[in-house]
Amino acid sequence: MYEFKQTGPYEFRLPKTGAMRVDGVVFASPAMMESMREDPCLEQVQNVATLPGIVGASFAMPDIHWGYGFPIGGVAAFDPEEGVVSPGGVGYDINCGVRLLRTQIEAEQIRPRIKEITVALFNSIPCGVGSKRRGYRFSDEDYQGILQDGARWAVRKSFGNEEDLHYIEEGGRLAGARPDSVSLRARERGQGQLGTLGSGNHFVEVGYVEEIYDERVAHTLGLHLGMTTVIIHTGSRGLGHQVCTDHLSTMLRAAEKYGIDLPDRQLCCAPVSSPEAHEYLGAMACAANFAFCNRQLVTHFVREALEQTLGASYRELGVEVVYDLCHNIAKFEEHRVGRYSKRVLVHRKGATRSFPAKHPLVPSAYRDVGQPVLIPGDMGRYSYVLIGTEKAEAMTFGSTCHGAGRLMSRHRAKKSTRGRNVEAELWEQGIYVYGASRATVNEEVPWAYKDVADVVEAVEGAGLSRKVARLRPMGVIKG
Amino acid sequence: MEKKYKNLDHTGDIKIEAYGASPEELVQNASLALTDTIAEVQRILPKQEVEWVITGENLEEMLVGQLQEILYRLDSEGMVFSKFQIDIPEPRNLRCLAYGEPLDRETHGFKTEIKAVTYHRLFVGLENGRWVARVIFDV
Repeated sequence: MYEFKQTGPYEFRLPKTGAMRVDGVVFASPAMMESMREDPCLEQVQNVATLPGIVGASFAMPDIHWGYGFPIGGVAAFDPEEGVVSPGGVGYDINCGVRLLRTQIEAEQIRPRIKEITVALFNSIPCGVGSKRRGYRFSDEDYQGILQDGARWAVRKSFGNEEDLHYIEEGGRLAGARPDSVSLRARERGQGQLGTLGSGNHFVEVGYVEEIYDERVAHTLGLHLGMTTVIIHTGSRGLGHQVCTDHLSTMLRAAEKYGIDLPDRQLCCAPVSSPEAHEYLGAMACAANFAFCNRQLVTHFVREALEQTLGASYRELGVEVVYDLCHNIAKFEEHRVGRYSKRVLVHRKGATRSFPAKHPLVPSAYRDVGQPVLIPGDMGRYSYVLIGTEKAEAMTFGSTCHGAGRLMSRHRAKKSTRGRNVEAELWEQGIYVYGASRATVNEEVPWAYKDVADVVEAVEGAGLSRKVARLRPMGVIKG
Repeated sequence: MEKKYKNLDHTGDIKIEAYGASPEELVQNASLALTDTIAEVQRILPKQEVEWVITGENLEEMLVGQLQEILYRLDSEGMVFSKFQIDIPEPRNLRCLAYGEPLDRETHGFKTEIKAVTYHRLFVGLENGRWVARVIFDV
């Protein structure tokens, strides 16, 4: 049983006890919190609060669930001089993230052809190892460019255009990349995986804007009712996974070396100022750039597939980037701490940046309204576009939730589909799912996930982001 | 026939439990268990032989190293294996002869991608006279 008290309509505090240096703060509805009363993810929130140099609090978003070391949905900021960096606070899939594309195609125009379009996307976007179409292979020189420059490299190679870069977090390139800190093994795992989707909960989804909650903001983001949209959800592939694995071993030794007490060895970390931290952050930035580049290539393949099936150029079809953001990352950011602005290292693991209007890092076209926040739901229901707020800036180092979170294990999900044809059931609801593996589709059924609407209601209730639009799926491809 | 491994319930990821009469057999069966989460292991033909060495301070480290090697070989060479011959000639040295072929998602009944081998609730040891390993894979 975990002790917490409600400190706001959607805010709960786990008071500082024992080795905790700060409180834990969980954003959730009262019902969600009650269901978590005995959930070990709350212990993870408390464990993160024990790490040296943590600033403010150990935060958790409403989609919190148990992870490795840090909970998924966890946010923690650290002082650069006294604090630590922890690969578990970023996750294995470094810069797993979401990109939203808008189009000038009316959904009703393409609905009769959704099967054809979905299959075209599937054939255009490689899933990963062993699939018919391979990932993009590149030279060693290219590899340097990819790791240093991310999506910018991709645009230089004519995958997309300059305009795309304005609408990607960090301009599609995280500074501080150190390719020398990426192991040969990680590079080998990444080669052949660029431009691939991956499996599990990764997807590309063609959908449409079903509802608008804020006309002004939607208009600024270029969204209108009935518009066809595309969501891309993927990350840094084998390269990122190996970078995390490599540095977890280093960090285990580092934690011992620097005398950091770990309540859980998966919180292994090193002081931000240490060589081990520099190595990790340098490699993490490379992996982040690989992921930005990956989503840029997948965008290119989406555009190609739409061009081929609809017989017009992607510019004529208006296929443009609304926004692309990370939900597994650690970044140096300036935030208000007390009365002053301070540079801190913010870890977001299964959490999204949520910057308000007027923030200099928000694309200039959106600066009047704020940073778009993209929250994908499961493949049977809906996803949301939100906007960043000042309250997030004030309360959570500009952070909010990232998605729905699983309700059911993969095993249970598969069991629940026995005797059922999931694809047929979804098609009856107007959603065409085309997957590389029946097993993956069955593991990713909508009822295996929490309802993302509840998560969005909680972050809006807490003031961390505001609803702008709801998107519904029409065609989904799974790796 | 003695069960070699099984899947355990885990909400977000995949947890397996593998068994063996010896440490070598345990590592062999854990390797099969991992492969079986990726594709239908019985559909993979043992056409090509690949050899590798894993070093580690103890059996737990060597087992984790072995499983990580399988993920590495898949991503970097596209290979999956259905037969593993494991030899632990010295305490910190594991030799593996693996037999398999390039992964073809359709032919091999692809199931899912595994991102990593985690250390969470990792157990490698003796239970009731047999070797047991419990490992969680990040999906």
